Amino acid sequence: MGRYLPIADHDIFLYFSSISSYAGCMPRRREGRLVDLEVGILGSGIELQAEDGDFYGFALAKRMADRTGATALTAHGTLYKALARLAERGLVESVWEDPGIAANEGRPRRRLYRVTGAGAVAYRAETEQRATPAPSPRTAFA
Amino acid sequence: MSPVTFGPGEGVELEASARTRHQAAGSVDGAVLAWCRWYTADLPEDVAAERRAELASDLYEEREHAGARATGSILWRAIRGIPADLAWRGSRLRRAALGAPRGTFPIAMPTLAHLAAIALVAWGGFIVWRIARSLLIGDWRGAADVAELSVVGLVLALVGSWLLMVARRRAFAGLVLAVAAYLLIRFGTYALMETSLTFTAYFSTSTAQMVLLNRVATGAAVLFFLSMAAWWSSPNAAAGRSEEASS
Repeated sequence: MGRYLPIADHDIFLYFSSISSYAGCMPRRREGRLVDLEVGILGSGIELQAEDGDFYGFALAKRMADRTGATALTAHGTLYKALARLAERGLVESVWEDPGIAANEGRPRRRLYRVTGAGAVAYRAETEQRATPAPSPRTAFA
Repeated sequence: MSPVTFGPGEGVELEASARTRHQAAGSVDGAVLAWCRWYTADLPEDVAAERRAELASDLYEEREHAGARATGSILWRAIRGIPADLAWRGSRLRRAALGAPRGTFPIAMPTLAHLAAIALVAWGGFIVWRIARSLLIGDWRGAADVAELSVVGLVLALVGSWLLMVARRRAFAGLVLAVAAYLLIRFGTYALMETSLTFTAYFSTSTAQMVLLNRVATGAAVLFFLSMAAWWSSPNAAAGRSEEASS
């Protein structure tokens, strides 16, 4: 197994400074917010991590579908692009599985992901913000 | 960046690992992996190896989970992911371009070469379609070698376009495309004359100009692709490639 790098303050900074170059293919991102897919990845990842210590692509796609009751799994390109984006923002980190383990089981190596501390913070902040009802426009004039 | 560190030989090891196929894997799995090889072909080697290995692992795990029933899901996931695959590829190319040395034009030059290759394939396809149509309706009166060389030119153009996708083979692709351009423009024009009354009429009224145009167009296209081959075999472009690989 490789070593996960420690979380640094800049991870949290990266989370709050959104990356606009991806906006063309995703729902428009509000500053410092997560899109639905990223919330699903972090939420499912945190669950899988609590059970197994880490998670890999297919297990994540399966858990995301189970959580939402979807019949189709997230597309390969969509899932791995979103994971790469979250890794760049420091919200997940990854290592390649020990080659010996994969060879013993006769399968390709898995890329093992973990949700970082910054990822867990971002997930909690996002779910709390979504749970809070938006203020009525009328209250602004009250 | 992901905190994965890539040691020497790691990419090779990942590529080897990615070749492990599930016993229930079928042609759909092969097609999805081939698509992945295509869109990662000219990316830095470590980035490409990681994406291929990750996808191979995903396909294996889905087969392990659902066996032969996974075929539809794998295909549908791959199709729905195409826009994201291409967007990811574009972002990786842009990133490689940012770290490239001055004067290597890592995006502009391949784009120009791809556009020229597509234009050549389109011209070749048109010529061969006209020849085939003419043969089918029985009005072909041209020499057999003109038709044969046009078909050879189209095949070479397709092979050259495919080779162009792989960064380290671009110099060779330039040579192949130069030969294809010579055959398709030089002889393709004569083939077109045999299949088009309009073109024949125009050629017969302006023979000298048409011959000159044919020679100039052939020379320009061949020179373009030879220059492309020289560009990618030069140390400057090679430095750009190694910079891409290490970024």
